[in-house]
Amino acid sequence: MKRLFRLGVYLGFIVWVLSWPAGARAGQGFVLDGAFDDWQGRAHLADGRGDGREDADFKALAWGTNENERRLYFMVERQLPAAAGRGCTCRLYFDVDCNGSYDNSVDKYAEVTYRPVAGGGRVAVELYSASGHLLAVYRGRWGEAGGRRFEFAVPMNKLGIYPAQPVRFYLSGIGAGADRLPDRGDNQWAPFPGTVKSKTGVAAVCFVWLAVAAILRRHRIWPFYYIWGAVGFTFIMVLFFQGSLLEYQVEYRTGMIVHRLLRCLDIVTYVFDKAPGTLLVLIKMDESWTTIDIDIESSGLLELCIFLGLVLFYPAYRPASKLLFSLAGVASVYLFNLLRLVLVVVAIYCGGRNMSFIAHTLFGRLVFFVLIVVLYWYVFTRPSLKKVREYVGSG
Amino acid sequence: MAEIFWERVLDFMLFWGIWLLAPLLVDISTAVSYFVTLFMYLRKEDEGFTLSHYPYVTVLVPVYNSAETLYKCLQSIRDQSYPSALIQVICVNNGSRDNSFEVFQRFQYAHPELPLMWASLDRPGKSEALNVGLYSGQGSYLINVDADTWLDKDAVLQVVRTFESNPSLVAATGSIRVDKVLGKGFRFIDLLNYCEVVEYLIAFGIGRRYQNLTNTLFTLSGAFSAFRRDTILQSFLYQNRTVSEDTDLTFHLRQIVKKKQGRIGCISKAIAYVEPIESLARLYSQRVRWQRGEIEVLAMHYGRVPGALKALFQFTGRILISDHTLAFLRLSWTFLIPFLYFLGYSLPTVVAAIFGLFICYLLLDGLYFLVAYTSVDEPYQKELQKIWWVVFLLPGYRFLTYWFRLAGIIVGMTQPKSWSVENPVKQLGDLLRFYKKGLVKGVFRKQWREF
Repeated sequence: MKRLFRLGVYLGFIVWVLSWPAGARAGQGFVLDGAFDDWQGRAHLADGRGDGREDADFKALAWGTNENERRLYFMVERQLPAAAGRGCTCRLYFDVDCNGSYDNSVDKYAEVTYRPVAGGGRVAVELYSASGHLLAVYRGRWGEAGGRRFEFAVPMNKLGIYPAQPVRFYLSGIGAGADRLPDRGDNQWAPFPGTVKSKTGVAAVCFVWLAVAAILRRHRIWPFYYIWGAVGFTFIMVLFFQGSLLEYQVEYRTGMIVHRLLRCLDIVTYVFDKAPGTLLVLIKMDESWTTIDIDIESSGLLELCIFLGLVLFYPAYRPASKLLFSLAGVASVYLFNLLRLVLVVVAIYCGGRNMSFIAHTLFGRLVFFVLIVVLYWYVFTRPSLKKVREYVGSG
Repeated sequence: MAEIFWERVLDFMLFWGIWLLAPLLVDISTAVSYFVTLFMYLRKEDEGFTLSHYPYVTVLVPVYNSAETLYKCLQSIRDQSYPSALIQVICVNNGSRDNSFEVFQRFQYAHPELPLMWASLDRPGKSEALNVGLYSGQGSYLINVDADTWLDKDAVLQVVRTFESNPSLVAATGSIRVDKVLGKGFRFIDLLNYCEVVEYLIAFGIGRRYQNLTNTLFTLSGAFSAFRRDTILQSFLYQNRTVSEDTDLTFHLRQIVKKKQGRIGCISKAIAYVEPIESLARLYSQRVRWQRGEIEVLAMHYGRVPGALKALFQFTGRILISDHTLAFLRLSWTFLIPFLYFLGYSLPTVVAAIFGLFICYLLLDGLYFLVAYTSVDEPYQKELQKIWWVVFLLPGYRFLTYWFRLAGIIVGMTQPKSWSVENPVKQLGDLLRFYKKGLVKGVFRKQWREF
């Protein structure tokens, strides 16, 4: 009991350090306030100067989401116009069903009007269905007074997008000579604004969970101890790590490794300082972009938490074996996940964006699944059989 | 919009649900191979064979506190369509403390024409009892029947007929059915029993028949199995080193007859009936023992545990992957899929995906039920029609038994060499009562001190 308590304290300390909020390193959340520091280093597409009318010659389009909030945030930057005070109207088109056509009944577009005035630019966003039916209007002082940049947000439910649903979009000016961003094609993105729970609340749940686990262990109610321990461990770790420094680091490093591995395969991807784990891939076949967000699942962190829960609470192993299996398992799961991510990007790159679903679900998920089953065979089934053989054989 | 919603649900199911769908895929691939091979098998099964002579057979009945069921069991042996004079019955008592012997005497007095023997051991032990019977039996075929099991009137005839027509068959299990009046009661235990009826129907109507055809029978049922005398006497007989002595013997026999191209099969037309399970606790105990026995037997019969890839190409390896390796994945993902709502997925998507997973399992169970239903005789089909709706409960029943089997894996690793299985729900209840009592005492003490 004392040993378990000590172990709990050590583990608690490690988790506490690792679950420290990522804070400024990961970039602050987006705030619609007409200030643009929150857009520094975020995922964006850039565009050259002189390919559009002066008032609507776009320089960049950035996008992102905030945790705990189901809105898509966008920021548009113009090449500074000769008459800086001139406003512009542009449209952000959404291919909601992600089929390459922007004219389906579910598709939408946001007409954004930007008027730079003293004390901040006025921005009005009118959301229309593809047939031109007005759905919603949003207004605010979300632009720069100087006329260069403006930001806005569109609720996911108004767009008809579920979390993690892929959607395509591009930005276009209105009228003759208007610019387009990207120049050809569009960008595919599956926005998934994660939910982050209060760490204090999770810590309280963690305390109750540990106490119950200790009681179940003390009274040797092994089936309940294992289920409670392994599943509870996974839940609590995931809730702790959501939005944490560890998640930030894992996603950032994973993104960088995948980025370098793909470079070896001559696939160019773009990474961003303050968008950990976001890879922007140019699919030459489609002449379009795809945003790949490495989140808590695709970074392998979720699977690692599951694996560790199952190993650490498996009552048949000694602590030394648990440590050995944990280390080997963590390394393996991480490697398997890297392989999966590379496979997904290669599949999309070679087969075009229509391969997204097949790439993610079949190539990525199935390969990962098979490798995980192999790992579990070596970590759980084989050693268990050896152990059973020992005690049955010893009579 | 609805189209996008269902597309999302499908994506969600395939992406996240793969951990729960994968065991289902294993089941589906097994089901497909079952159906294909059974289709081929059905034609073979219909080939007629008439016995030219009736060999002497021995029926062994291990008896342990079986006073309540022994008479019915012996009566079913007496009522066989096979000539009674050619059936030797040996009851082996292994430490009964009830009046089983008086029941035996009463039956013997009523049926002097049946060659009946009573042997008695001074201690409990089903394996020892069966071994005594196997050694003492003089029949060409040795059939063991549990004392709480009763035979269909043609069971022995079907056993002999199948052995005589298949010289390579060295041992076989009969088909077990649950003896439950169908469609009468609707209490929880009745519904549990109906599920059990269908489970046995599928297990013996499809699973065992497939194993029979591919010579991969996993267990010669302890309740009703038959052996060629000369082959069984070459084996180590029943051993009590594992909690599943029948599976242990099956694997041992397979090794013995491997070189001789001998087969171990299932005789679907030889039917025996067992009592339905009495309670959920008993079902738990039974499934824990089965799972534990499976692991113990496989552990003992693997000289060296193979790698994952090699295991995939062995039927035992595939069983282990399905029952052991994937059980760990299912454990976490069963809880994690609903938990994804807390990570940011929309509630309707998560709920619809869980419902979709249920439908997948329901469709598979429905298909199994249908195929198993067509494999039985007409009177039994009529009985089964009364509980066709139980198919909707089967995914839930399988889910329940999955947890029991998972408990078997854990218990097998933590409580070695024990037949008794403690019910964790009861343990938990005892624990809560203990703490409640402690709490109340503590409060009383405090009050007393204040007083």
